[in-house]
Amino acid sequence: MTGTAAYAGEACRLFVMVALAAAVAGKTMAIDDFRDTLLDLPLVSIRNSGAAALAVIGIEALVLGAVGVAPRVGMAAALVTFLLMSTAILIALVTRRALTCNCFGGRARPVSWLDLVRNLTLIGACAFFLSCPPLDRPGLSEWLLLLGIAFIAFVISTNLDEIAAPAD
Amino acid sequence: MEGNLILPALVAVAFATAFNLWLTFRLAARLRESMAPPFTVPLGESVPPFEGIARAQSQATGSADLAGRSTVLVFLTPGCKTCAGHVPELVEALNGAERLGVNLWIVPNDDRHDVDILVAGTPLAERVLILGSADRRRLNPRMAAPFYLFIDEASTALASSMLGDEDWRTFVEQMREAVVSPAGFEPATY
Repeated sequence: MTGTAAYAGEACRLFVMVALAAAVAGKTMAIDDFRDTLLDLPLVSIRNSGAAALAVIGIEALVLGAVGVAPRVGMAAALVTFLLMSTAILIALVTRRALTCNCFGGRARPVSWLDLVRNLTLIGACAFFLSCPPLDRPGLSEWLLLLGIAFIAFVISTNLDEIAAPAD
Repeated sequence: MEGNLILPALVAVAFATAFNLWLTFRLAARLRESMAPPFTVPLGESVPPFEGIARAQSQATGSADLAGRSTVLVFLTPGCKTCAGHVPELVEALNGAERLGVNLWIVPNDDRHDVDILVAGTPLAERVLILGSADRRRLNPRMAAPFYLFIDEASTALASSMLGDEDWRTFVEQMREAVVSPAGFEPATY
């Protein structure tokens, strides 16, 4: 059981890493759009929107690096980061702000409750990893298998709007 | 030997599944885009009839009442900063529109019908037209904001798009000129 939990925990860590890498790449490639998204949030003005966008991308890149180098500390940092982002999404939803975000690359999508569900999935992955024993040196094939599972989880969790979209 | 193959095979299946899912979602998004409603009502044709309430006057106002005068419907959403950025020019445009006898209505683009955060304290607050969601969707099929629809005296849709495009800027310029030298509204060839 401990072994299974350790493997599942490692899959969670890879899932978070894939999500953070996609977030950094997606926001960097469309930084102007991301700046516009931040402008629609309270506390961000035109004057500081560029710096805020760079700061968010920088923090995500730092956390990604930390998750890779020091998994326990990194995943704790990722947990806090996702909690903060969920709060921002929650504020936008409660105050009915019309936001779009290409937060993980690809096309810009309207921010919805599904983004909160996705973030809760990431928060759950962080919490699960932190509660698991570390995985002791997995083989390359095992690690690649977990990475493949992480990609599946990432693709599903970032396309919840497509899954939930009405079939008409 | 078999044990050696199972793990690489599972790795391949996992990545193939992830890629397949990604392609499926892209395809679904493309299909959805191709099935999306048109961006505007058909230009050059009569606008669909609509019925609403002029909020400040508490008076029923609809397409039949607006016929015979040029009308501009502007769809705004309360939480949209781009909409807020257009409020000053809308106030200017309203000034000119009133001089030229052009109906300019602000249509709240959500079901709460509350655009006070945008228009309170401006003359635009007197020009809020509440439309039901079915009418809004007929006039602004994708519920875009800030969005406009120009309607001529014969209830024909002349132009429709997001605020800030060339037709919109031409209109605002005409309204500004009307304040400086009132002449008469000549709808531009949109």
